[in-house]
Amino acid sequence: MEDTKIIDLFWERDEKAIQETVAAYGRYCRTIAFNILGVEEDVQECLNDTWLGAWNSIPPARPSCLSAFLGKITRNLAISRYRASHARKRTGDRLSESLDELGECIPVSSDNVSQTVDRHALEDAINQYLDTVSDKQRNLFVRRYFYMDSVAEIAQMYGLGQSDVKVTLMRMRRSLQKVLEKEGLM
Amino acid sequence: MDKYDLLEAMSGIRDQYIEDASAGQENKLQETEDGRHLKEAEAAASARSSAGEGQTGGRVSRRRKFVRFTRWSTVIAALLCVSVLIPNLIPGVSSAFRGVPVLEDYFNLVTFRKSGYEDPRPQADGGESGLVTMGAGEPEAIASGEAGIVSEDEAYENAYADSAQENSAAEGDAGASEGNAIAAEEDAGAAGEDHFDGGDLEENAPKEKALQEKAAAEEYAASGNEGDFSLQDVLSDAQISADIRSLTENSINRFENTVLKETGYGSMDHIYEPVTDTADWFCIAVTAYTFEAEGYQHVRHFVIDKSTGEQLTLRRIFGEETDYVTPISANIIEQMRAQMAEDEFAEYRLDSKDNPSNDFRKISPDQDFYLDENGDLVICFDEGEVAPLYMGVREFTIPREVTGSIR
Repeated sequence: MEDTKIIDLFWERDEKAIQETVAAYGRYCRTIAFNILGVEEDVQECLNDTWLGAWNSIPPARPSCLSAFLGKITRNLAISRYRASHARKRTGDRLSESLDELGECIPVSSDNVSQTVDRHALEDAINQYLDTVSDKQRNLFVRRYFYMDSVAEIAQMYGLGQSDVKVTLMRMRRSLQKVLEKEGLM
Repeated sequence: MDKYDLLEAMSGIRDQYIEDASAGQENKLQETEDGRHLKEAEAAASARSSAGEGQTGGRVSRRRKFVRFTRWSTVIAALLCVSVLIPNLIPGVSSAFRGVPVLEDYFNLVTFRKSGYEDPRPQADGGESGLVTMGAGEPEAIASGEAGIVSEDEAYENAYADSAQENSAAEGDAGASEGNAIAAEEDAGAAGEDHFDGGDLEENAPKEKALQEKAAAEEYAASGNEGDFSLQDVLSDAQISADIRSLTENSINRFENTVLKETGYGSMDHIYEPVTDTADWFCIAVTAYTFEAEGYQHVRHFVIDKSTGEQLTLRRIFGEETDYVTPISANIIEQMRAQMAEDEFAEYRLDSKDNPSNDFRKISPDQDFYLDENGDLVICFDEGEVAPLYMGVREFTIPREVTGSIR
């Protein structure tokens, strides 16, 4: 079923909307959740919360890109659950690996620890940065830090060597750091 | 701001970018729907409960079976191709399996060219492959370089059995070195071009062949060609073989006590390959490839002076009283700075603000090295030793104005 029709079902408060959403995006959201949580039980609960979150959000929302909308809900729920459960060791540390890499963008400084972050400004800065890079670089970045894919998976997905992926991501993190510094966010 | 803020901010990435990147995931999902995720879920469920809680472990869909069959078929086909190519491209490989049941016949069957190079690996107790695989993990992770797939328990037991055999072989003195000499000669093929005739490998039993070659070696040695050490004589040296075996043992023991104990998963390969073979020097590189989630490479070189048969160290080359560490280290730092000036992505541990105690300052007196074809000293560092892991193994050729002529 097309996304527009699924969204129409949400607006009509037809419970079939959930079935169609699961059919269309169940695997997609499951992958995102599993990459972060790594435990089947937690993944299932996260997915259930995702469908509930979508039901509560639509309406009033009418997302133009349903996959991204659902993906963000799943991702945010999964990260929250991860932080709450302190389930680092159970995942094989995919999330902690990504966290450590992103931590390289943040200089070690006591000022950074206490500084309150403007979330929207940070998101804008990230998007402005991604606007300037190539499609290939952007896809690698999004797969790693949004979808939490491993380097090996990304390399296989795009037919690249793992070292290529690592070096590209490393360069992008450095460039992002410069962008964030220039925007005064750190 | 902390790293969690940055991670959460990634949820604000434009929808279009998220959707663009998801195109790659659709292909991945097709392949892994019945594969990795369910497999990991089953593994996690069964690991949590010894009572067999894994509810999903028993059910295997037809699609998963087909995917699994296709994957295994591809792996096996690739291994067969590699097993045919390697003995015909790399000298000494087929002879390394002399005396091993089934494998000897297989490699004799697929080897179309005679080996012109002696396998320098120490051989004992029917020959060891130089290959140790521990932990099953994903089949793909242990498929590289291995002739067959073993279970985790079997691989672990084999690894311990190999280590035990190596320990008992190393403890023997004359018996072990004689056994090594015979076994090394057994693998001669043609050590150096004219010393031995490889003969008809299919007709002679290994022991008879070894005795014939030993007699030929003795005859050659008595022929008066002193100073013209054959590779066989060098590599049958008990001390050198013991050093190589000790290196292999130590790296295996370290692997067992660190990676394998911590993760229960991983594999290690040892590769032995010649680096330099001139009239003066013979250099072997022993490389240990360790695979966990990613691969790590550790290299150690053995440099043999052909005129004396002795293994060279930096101390022996420059003398105990000479400060060779300082000038060589200074030159390496110069080269590092030059590389970083030329290439913005080259990075070495120099002048670090975050962790200056980790900076490179000087080489070890026993730093790994080899001599290249020109007789120049090449200093070697493992991955991560002086630069980030992505830079890989680093080598620096030291100019003669620093070292002087080594010979």
